Amino acid sequence: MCVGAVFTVLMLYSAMQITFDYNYLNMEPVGLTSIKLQDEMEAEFDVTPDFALVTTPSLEEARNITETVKKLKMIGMVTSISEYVPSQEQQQKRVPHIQKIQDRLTNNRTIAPFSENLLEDLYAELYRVEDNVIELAQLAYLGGQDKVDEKCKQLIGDLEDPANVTMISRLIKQLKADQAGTVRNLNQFQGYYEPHLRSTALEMASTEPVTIKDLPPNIIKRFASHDGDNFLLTIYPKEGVWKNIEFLERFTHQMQKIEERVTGIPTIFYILIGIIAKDGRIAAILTLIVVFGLLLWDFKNLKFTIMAMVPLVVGAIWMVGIMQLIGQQLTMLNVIVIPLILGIGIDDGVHLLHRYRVEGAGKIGAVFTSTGKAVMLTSLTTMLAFGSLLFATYRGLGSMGSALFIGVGTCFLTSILILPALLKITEKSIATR
Amino acid sequence: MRRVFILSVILLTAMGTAQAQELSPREIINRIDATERVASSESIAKQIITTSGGKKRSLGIKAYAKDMNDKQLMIYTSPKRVKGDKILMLNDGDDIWFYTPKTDRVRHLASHAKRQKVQGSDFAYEDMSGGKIEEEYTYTLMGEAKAAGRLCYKFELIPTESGPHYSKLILWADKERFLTLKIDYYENGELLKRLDCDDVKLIDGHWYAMKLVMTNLKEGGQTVMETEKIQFDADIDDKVFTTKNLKRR
Repeated sequence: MCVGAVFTVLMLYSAMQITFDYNYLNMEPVGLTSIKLQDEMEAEFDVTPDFALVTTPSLEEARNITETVKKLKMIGMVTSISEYVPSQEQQQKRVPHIQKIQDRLTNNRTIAPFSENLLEDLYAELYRVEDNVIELAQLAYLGGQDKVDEKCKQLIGDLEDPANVTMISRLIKQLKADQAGTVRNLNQFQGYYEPHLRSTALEMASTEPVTIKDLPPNIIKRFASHDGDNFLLTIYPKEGVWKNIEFLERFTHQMQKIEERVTGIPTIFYILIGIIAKDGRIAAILTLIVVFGLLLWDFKNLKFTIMAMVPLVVGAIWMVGIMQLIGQQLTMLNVIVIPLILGIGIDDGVHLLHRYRVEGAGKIGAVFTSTGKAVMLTSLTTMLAFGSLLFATYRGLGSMGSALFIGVGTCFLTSILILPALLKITEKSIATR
Repeated sequence: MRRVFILSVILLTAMGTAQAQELSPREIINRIDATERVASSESIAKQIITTSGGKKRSLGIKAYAKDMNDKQLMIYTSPKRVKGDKILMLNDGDDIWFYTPKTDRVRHLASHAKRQKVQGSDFAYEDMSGGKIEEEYTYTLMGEAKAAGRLCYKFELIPTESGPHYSKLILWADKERFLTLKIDYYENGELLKRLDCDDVKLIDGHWYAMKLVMTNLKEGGQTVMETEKIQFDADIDDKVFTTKNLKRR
């Protein structure tokens, strides 16, 4: 009994250290391609496919929410119809500038050919671009903007390498090697490109206000409802919401602050965790209460009822303690089976106590020799049945199977180890009286 | 005799306490400004930022400041990649220039950069510029509270038109030393970030926090600025704070 008590205390301490695995991706099979892809998306693009969704009844509200959300450091990207339709105010501000462009395009139809005199200007501009990218890279490095820095490196190479020659420098060298050819090619290019550029620019230089109706149908379809009364915003966090509950919590709360009716997998999951935690606790407590009530009705004796409950409660402590020791966490799925474990785990104690009541005092050995064997068999078969889930590729099922296997096992052990000791103590105390 | 001595001590303590209690909020603010806005300083510091990729990056900085931090020059000394890069801030952070020896060009950053974070840190340029509390905020003394283990005056600061863009600041200033030990920055009523000032030392007659930790409470992330060495009231030529000087090696 003392050894059991000490072990129980140790398991209780271990049980209190157990953590909850909020990462639902850990429920999925190992090596799932979709999850690998998700990790790559996050690494390459600073966005994840688990997004929040918001609907708004107006373009202006979509715009306001987009602007607010974009300022948040935790956001990787926002897609919204407002990105395609500038506000009336912005459009009005741009009209004079657009008009100027229109006039220049219309009035200046003759393009001077490119000559060797202009080559130095071209090189200077290319060097200026190179310097801009270098400075951008430096500012990005100082600013901890790794992605920007990496992108710049693709153009300018490793600035710390003394032998480094930038892509732009190589281009300039190539152009200088055959200046006549460069001029010829640039003029040819200009001949092809200029008319297209001019016509496209003229088309773009329209001072007509841009409205939703001007957008291509595939864009409207992406963001607007059929009746055009609702607009969809998709908000992508910068990092995976599943790796870090604090980030998931922050992201969800932030989105809920911006729009109460936000939805999306992260939000739903976060709310679900809360519901499971709350309902899981209630279910476990209700199970214990109902089991207690049923046992009391069955035994019609409080002492026996408590004796039946003790191995169950201790078994549950041992279960969680052992799970923590073997590195298992609580998950959405194995938490659900706790009431099941309580319902199954009580059986052993009930059968043994019923047999004891039939056999009478002093017959503990006989009880456990006979009914004990039956209880062991039933526990083993149950454990093996649930234990088969351990081999499931879907790890969520595996965590369920593991919890059930351990839970039924510990309830069996506590029934055959602790219950006899309790019965012995009870017999002794009666004898003493 | 002993009774007289004890009475004198009690009286002097009471007088001192009364005197401290007599300081008006304005006087306290002025004392804080006087403590923190030094005429000039020259320092060597280390800034530890967290990059967008989650890596910690340590940047060595040699900094010069003058005219109550109205003029500031930061020269990056390490790592090798950024050695020689410089940032010049003038006019209370309204003008910011960047120079790198890699291009040997001086670049004027856009005016809205003042509100931007200083090089990926959780400090904004306007956090580091040297404005006077009296000029940039309206303030209310909220009472006393502890911060960094020291008893502090606690103020609520609401920025004026010329002040920073935050909606509110709560500031804790050491009651004895009149040095800011903690600031909570609010934006639209929401706590945005917190500045903790640690490792306070008395240098050249000035109390100074050698370690500043800015924690972004809204989005996570932290920037640490550790001063290794600082000299106050240094004689720094105005020419140091010119764009021309940026190009000088």
